[in-house]
Amino acid sequence: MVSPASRVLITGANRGLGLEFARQYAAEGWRVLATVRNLDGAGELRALRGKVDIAHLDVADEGSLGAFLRDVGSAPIDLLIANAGIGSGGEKPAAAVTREEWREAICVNTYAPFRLAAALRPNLERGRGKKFAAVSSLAASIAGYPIAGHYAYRASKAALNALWRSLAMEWRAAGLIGLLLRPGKVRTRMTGFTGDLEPVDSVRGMRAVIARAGFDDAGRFFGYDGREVPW
Amino acid sequence: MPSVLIAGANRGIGLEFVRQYAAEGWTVHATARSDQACAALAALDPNVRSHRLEVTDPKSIAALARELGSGSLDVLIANAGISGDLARPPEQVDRRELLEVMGVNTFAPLHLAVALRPHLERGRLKIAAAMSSLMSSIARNTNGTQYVYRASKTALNAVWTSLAREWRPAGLICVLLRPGFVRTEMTDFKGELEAPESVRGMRKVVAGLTLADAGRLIGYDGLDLPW
Repeated sequence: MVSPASRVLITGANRGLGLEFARQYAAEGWRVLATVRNLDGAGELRALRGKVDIAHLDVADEGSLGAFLRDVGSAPIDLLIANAGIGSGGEKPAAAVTREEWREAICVNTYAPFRLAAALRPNLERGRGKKFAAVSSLAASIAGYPIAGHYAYRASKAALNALWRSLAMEWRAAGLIGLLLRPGKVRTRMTGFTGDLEPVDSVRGMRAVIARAGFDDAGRFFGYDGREVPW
Repeated sequence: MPSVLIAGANRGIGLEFVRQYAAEGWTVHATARSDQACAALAALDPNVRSHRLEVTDPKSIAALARELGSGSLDVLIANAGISGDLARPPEQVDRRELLEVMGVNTFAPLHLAVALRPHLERGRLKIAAAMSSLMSSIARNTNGTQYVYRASKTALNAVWTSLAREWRPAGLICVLLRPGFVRTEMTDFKGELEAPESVRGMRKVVAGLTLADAGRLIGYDGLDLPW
């Protein structure tokens, strides 16, 4: 059993994997700080049992991030799960990639989680858990992804892997463990509910990966099934 | 003789590609951002034709494709790139810089290749090469630093390997090249090898490519770099 005082921050917690992370950690007695971009859409999150605090955060908006960071203050955070992200928008040829599409993907999937982690380093250092995880994707795997399309999405997740790896390598010396997670193809809104596993199983698997990660795992990329994902 | 288009040709590795291919008698289309740089490129060698190109501007890319008309292109070398502020610590990386560097290093090569695909399909060699970097390798990243530059080149690898997969059925060979740590302006001339040696090595790699190599990341030394 985890210490009841352990505190996890989960972004994009109003639905899908983020909501399931919040549900499972709360059920285990963690204090959950769950962030959402839209407080109106947080009904399921509000209904969770346990110690769940809900906060508004749109990391793409510096004003929102600043207000959130002021609220968090110097509170210790044991675990950060940077989960918020947008999907691929379907398989499209290279010729269909627009500037608007890739800029949005990079802002939401790459910049936002990185920006948040960089800002929360002091909080993570004050926590006991000292872990920060980002929800990546098999699409980020240059070696392992067998599909051509999804250019902007792939680029955004590959760039996230690169940034998170750099953070993990630099912050290792401070005792922090950075992890990248592959949730698998989960039946959520993002996949049009076409996945091959349920959020409950994906999240249970990822939580196990996080729980057992040690210093040697800093900067590595693991699937929900515990298997390492090739870069 | 074959033809090659080199984007970002006014200095460093791009300029050296221009010199070497022109010296071999290839038709070289060399792009640069300023009229002055274009004039200097055109004066280098009778085999060189210079074109103004701002790789992040879709209109400029479209204009280049029109200039090349119904001509063919054997090899595209998407070399233009920027380093951004390599020394910036993570908490000082801002969105503007990430978007700028990824615009030039990741998505401009993709947009350029897409615009020139008809020319490459008419060419004989059908090679689209993009300039990656040791910094693109996550597996080799054991010390962090250079956040934005690394991310832009890792993402370039992701989009270019996707392009290799998409274009392979059309017989187009998309590859990533690693120049090595070359003494150029971008490295403050602190590299381990000179541009002529790096470019000679990469030209040798390009000369030996077949469709089976599509999607590889190959160094100037002929060795693959782990992702």
